Amino acid sequence: MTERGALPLVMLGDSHCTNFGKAMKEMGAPILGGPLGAASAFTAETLPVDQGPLRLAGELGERFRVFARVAGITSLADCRGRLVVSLGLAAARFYGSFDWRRVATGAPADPRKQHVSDAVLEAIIDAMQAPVVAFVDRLVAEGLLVCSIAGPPPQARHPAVAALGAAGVLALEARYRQPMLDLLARQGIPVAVAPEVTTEQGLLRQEFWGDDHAHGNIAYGRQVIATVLRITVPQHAQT
Amino acid sequence: MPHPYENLPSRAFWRSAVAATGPDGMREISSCRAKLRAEQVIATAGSCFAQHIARRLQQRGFNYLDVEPAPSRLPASLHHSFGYGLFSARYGNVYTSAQLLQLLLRATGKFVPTERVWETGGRWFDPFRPSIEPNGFASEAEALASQDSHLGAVRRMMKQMDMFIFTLGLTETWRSREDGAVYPVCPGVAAGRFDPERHEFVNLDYEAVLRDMARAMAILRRTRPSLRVLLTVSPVPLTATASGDHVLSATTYSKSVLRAVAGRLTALHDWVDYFPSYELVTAPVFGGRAYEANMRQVATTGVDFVMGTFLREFCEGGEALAAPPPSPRSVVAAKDDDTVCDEAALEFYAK
Repeated sequence: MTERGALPLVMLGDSHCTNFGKAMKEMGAPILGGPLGAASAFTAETLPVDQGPLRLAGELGERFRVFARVAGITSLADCRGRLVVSLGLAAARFYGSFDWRRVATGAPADPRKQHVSDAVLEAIIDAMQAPVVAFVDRLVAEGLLVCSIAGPPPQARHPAVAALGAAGVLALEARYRQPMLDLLARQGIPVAVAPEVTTEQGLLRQEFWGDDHAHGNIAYGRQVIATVLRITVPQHAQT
Repeated sequence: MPHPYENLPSRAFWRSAVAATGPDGMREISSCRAKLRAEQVIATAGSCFAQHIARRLQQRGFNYLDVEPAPSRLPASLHHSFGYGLFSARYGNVYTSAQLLQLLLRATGKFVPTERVWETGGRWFDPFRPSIEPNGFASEAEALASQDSHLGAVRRMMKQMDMFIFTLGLTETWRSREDGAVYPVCPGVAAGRFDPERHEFVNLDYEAVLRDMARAMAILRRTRPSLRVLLTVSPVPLTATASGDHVLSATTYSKSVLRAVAGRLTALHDWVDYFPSYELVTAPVFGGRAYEANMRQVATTGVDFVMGTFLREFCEGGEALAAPPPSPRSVVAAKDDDTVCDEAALEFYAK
């Protein structure tokens, strides 16, 4: 599992990185870094993709200074060929933003609920994902990114699952993740998907639930980190 | 014995009420029977000018009813494109009395149009609110699901509102020859296909508008017996006319009919008020200066003037609510917020 002289991986991303970070410390994994902020902090303002050096701005810029010290880097450019992100692939923030007791999608829909059209859903996904996708695209273009981490599958206790059923939530999750998955596939960046963590329905198994209905626990984090290492070490060792 | 004019207030005389005061000094312009109270649940509908009323009431903290709010994660910049936040429900512009009546009949299950969806370029549109989904719905079933949900929301609105503000916009409309359904926009303009065998032009006359409005208000009052209605007439001229008349004459006809009907309904019912937004923009004393350069759209300062007067004269605590009313005299070609007028699509076809 060691890097045999290569620099360690650097992981950054959303709040899911908290337990990933705890897991990698427990495991003594050759990965540094952790969360930069909640997914809501990753916006067009904090992820500028204009000309010039790639950087984080606003509150993410502030946090990056602390993050950089911990990760032993001075800038994102120091992560060439060893950056792992958890960005744009955790969908709970999307499907959890609707009050499904009074909102419906698709057709036929419950006429007692407010219908939200496919096009409106797409517009919401685009608004939430576009800045993150553009940022990750830039990470790839700069030769930094080696792997992206899939967000944890939905939990059975999530109110959206109670309202829409597992299949309904998984469909929304798939739609939300698609723009990022398309980019990663196009650029040949692997996605670390923790194995054997889901039920037959495709939901996160209870032993991997975190403190709330959006996050996985440290055991889930261990599964993720092991997958990241399995995917990246051979590739990373060659850099 | 004194003659009837001797004891009239100064507002009854042009010299004292208009010539002497100038446009900025005019007061008691409207005859309001019951002022709006902050706790009253207010709903709005109507032509594009009604969007200004909705927006200003929300800005001023009135208890404005929105039964189809935008999903929380939809960026605010997209709300209006998807028909959110324009009115109390997502019905888009309701230009005519016939359209209002039809909306209420559909919401109460008393009318189901034959032509419920339009297919254009593989996308599906709601003929009665073709602009609320700029690229249409993904399927016929989705369009119908949205329609059913919308009509349910309109029913909720009818039950909850204390005050309904309706802005009459036009008399011209396009109608289905088959079942009399009326469309906000001529089929084929925003979506659908125009078929002279199936669609006909109608220019509603005074009797028709009065009949439609009387029926619409009766439906509303049956649902909500204590409901008050506030009528206004949009000062925005027609974008285009299919009447064969010059658009200027056609505008005068439309607005005259609508203004006369509003006056008649106010005279008939003590629960109906009229607010003269039309007069406050179009009267000669204002010199047309409330308009943008195209003399059609009302400039921000014109809207400020109208809404300042509205807040002052129709709302409790109005003097405090009303910003100093800027005169249309000082109007510059300022752009107002993005008022959505799907009727404006017709302008594209002007030669």
